Amino acid sequence: MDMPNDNAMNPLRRLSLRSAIFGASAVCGLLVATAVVASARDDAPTRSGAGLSSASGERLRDVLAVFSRPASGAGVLPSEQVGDAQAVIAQAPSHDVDPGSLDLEYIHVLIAGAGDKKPRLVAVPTSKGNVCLFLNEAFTGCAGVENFRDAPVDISVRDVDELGAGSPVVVYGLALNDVTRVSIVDDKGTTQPAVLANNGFFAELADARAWPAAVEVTRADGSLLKLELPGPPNPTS
Amino acid sequence: MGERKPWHGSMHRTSRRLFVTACLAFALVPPAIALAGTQFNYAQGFNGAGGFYSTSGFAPRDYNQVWHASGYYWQVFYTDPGGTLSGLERSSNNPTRWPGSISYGKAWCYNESDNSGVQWTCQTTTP
Repeated sequence: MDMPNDNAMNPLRRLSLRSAIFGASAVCGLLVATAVVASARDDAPTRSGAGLSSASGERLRDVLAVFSRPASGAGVLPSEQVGDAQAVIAQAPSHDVDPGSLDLEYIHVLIAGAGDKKPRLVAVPTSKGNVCLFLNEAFTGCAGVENFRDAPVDISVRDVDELGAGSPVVVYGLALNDVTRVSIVDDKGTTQPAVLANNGFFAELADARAWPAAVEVTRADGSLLKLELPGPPNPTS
Repeated sequence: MGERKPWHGSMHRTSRRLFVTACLAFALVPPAIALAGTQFNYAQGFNGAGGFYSTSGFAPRDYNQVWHASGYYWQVFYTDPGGTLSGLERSSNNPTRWPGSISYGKAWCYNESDNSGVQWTCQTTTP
């Protein structure tokens, strides 16, 4: 019985085999290219509809435009406050929550103070790429890219004395580069603009009895985002 | 008796200064140390968004803070024996920290949204 050998394969079958191999290679190449593009997209910081999303390696200090400008220089913060902040950071309970050491060479005044009532918001990047804030010279913790996962602003709320009395509540924080306006809506229905400069914002409510109910953020593309805030804490509830 | 030589007088003055300095140190250092309270963890855990945690009792406190994964909102505040809230800080910064003191209060931390799986630690001071 005659068996066909490879050399004796007819030209049509050889052509068909080559086409199959070529086709399979093309499909594989396409899949690899798609995976590479998708991976690159995941790695790049992207501005979603809400805020900043990022994956491995992205650092907030590289995202905020203020840190591409000349630093404000040493002496912006009293050495005692810097020392206090460094002491606090040095006692971080674990590596997971350690914001990194202060990189004072790149210190920036975001909102300059003048007089007793004006705020002074200062930012210092860290060795891990986070950004630490000092409000009126007191260290108030550090933000990372994760803080902008859901919104283009990172909102802090502070009441220095009794809630609902004494000094009014203040709202402050960091804003991404494309934020053009930040306003605070309080629970009495009053809306007031925040001071916005150098990726920082600050507002003090007009009424000491009021609580911030929402933050309205306008972006460079004209879109408006309203971020609801929770009410005051009620530990007995 | 001849009069004292100058270096004897100088030595006497130096000894007296040292004695006064030592007395001042004994008198002032302990209260200064006492004023700076000792930090302790009053709550620690994983996840638990929506949970309130506090010290068991009232005392003078120097500050109140919570270490946690960045990007998750926490609140820290004090209450006095009458239940009045004060010294509140709400942020997703790490640590969420109220740097101010209270003369006699209970320290609280409130986990608003942290189910990150990273261990959180609430800290304040005790006399």
